[in-house]
Amino acid sequence: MKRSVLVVDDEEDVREALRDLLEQYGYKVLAAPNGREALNILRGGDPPGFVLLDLIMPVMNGWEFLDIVSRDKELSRIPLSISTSTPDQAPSDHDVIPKPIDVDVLLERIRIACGA
Amino acid sequence: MNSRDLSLSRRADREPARGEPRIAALLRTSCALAAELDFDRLVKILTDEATALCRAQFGAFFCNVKADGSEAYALHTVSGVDRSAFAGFPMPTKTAIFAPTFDGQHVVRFDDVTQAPGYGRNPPHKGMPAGHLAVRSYLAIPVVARDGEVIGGLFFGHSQAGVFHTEDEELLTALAAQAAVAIERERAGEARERFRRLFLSMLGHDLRNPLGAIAISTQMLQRLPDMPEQSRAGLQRIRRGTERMTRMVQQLLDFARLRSLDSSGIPVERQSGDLDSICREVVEELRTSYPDRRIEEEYEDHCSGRWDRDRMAQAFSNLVENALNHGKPDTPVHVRLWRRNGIVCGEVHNQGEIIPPAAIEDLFDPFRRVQAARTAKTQGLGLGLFITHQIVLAHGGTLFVVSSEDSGTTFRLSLPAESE
Repeated sequence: MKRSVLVVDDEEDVREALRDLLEQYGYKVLAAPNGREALNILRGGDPPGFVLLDLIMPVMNGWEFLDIVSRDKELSRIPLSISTSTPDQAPSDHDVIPKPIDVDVLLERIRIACGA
Repeated sequence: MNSRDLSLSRRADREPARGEPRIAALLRTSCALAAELDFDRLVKILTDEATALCRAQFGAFFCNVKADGSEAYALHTVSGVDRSAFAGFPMPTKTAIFAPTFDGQHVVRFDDVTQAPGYGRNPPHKGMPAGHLAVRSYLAIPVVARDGEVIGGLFFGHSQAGVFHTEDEELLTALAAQAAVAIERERAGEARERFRRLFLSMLGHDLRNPLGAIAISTQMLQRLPDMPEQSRAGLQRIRRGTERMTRMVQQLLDFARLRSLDSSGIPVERQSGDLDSICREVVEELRTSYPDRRIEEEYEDHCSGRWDRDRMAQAFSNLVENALNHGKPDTPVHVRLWRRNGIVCGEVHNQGEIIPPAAIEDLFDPFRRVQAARTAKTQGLGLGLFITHQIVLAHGGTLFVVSSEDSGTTFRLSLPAESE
């Protein structure tokens, strides 16, 4: 199990807060401000054990990112949760963690994906 | 001689007797225009009614469509004939005959347009386009907004000469002015709707994101070991404040959605589940936020049914928190749920200052709050009960309140369980 998480969110403070939190629990955290940079990270090397994805982002939003990832055999296997302030707009075939994020819920999702 | 002079000079011997029916028709049309909120329908009413009022064989409205800073005029609505009759020139040029209308200058009327100065000299058609309706009587009214912007032009035609009269000019000018006001109002509504969408998007995303960063950071700090008690208490206050702010943003978002033009109530997505389990979770969360208060629970049965889990949690949270805020601090808040004959019933009760009868009447209206009972603890927008009521209504239920000195205040709700 890979103890690494990719956080994709355009809000820098959210990325950094999640980084501080998850590192406290021993996870390695990768971060991207949009879908395009997240794809570069995923394709550039060792894929993470879990992806937390915001939907509304500049450059490439979460829907466009999911569209590309769903057509990639390898990338679509990575456990992913959508974290959004508009959960009613999230694609129904993905797990959704509404914002503001409940830390216990997030840690449980990551624990299942990456192992304790 | 300009077009106006031409028409006026022949007024006396051509004016037929006019009666009240035309005024009545004008008033009816005015009312219809005032009631209409859609641009296309507004223009259709205007063109149809104006064509009938002046007894034209056909009428048309050309709309000012601005493109790249320049003005252009496109055929919008036709009345009295098939639209194909205008296939010859859907985009007219500003010739000497059309210019006063498209520039919003004045009414143009010709008893016989084929005799008008300059007629037949303008390319490309040099007169009527081939196949166009035969026009001799011609009347054109500019439709101009109050700020001077030309919205478009109304054009009327008849194959016989001398059909239109001064009174037609006056009636249709009045109608065009009314239509211009209605169109301006419709455009203002459209602008408000655009602003509303922008506002919703800002609330939903931009405002909640920084709150998210605060919430995560607070929870992260609360998990650090060896935190001094003073810091721990401070973090708890930040967390409570963030949660309250998040709820208020959600309430504003719900309110804005409910007040939108196309709203049909709060949207709910029902799933099978127990209402008591939703209520238990809500109470557990509120115990964390109100550690000094006592909340008693009484669930008589598994209250199964089909509910929108998140929305019902929001409703219970509002009701129980309302009771905590308004109840006497040294008395418990009592939550009770039971099921009878396919209906799930619930109560949230608190002792304390009662809600005056006059205030109960509009308790579920937005931004209403019982001022007399307001304390430092009740910080909010006054939207909680309004939204709670809307959630209950969206589930086909009812919500009401009873409040008296003897028995305290009780919010009662009934919800049809629906098929499971």
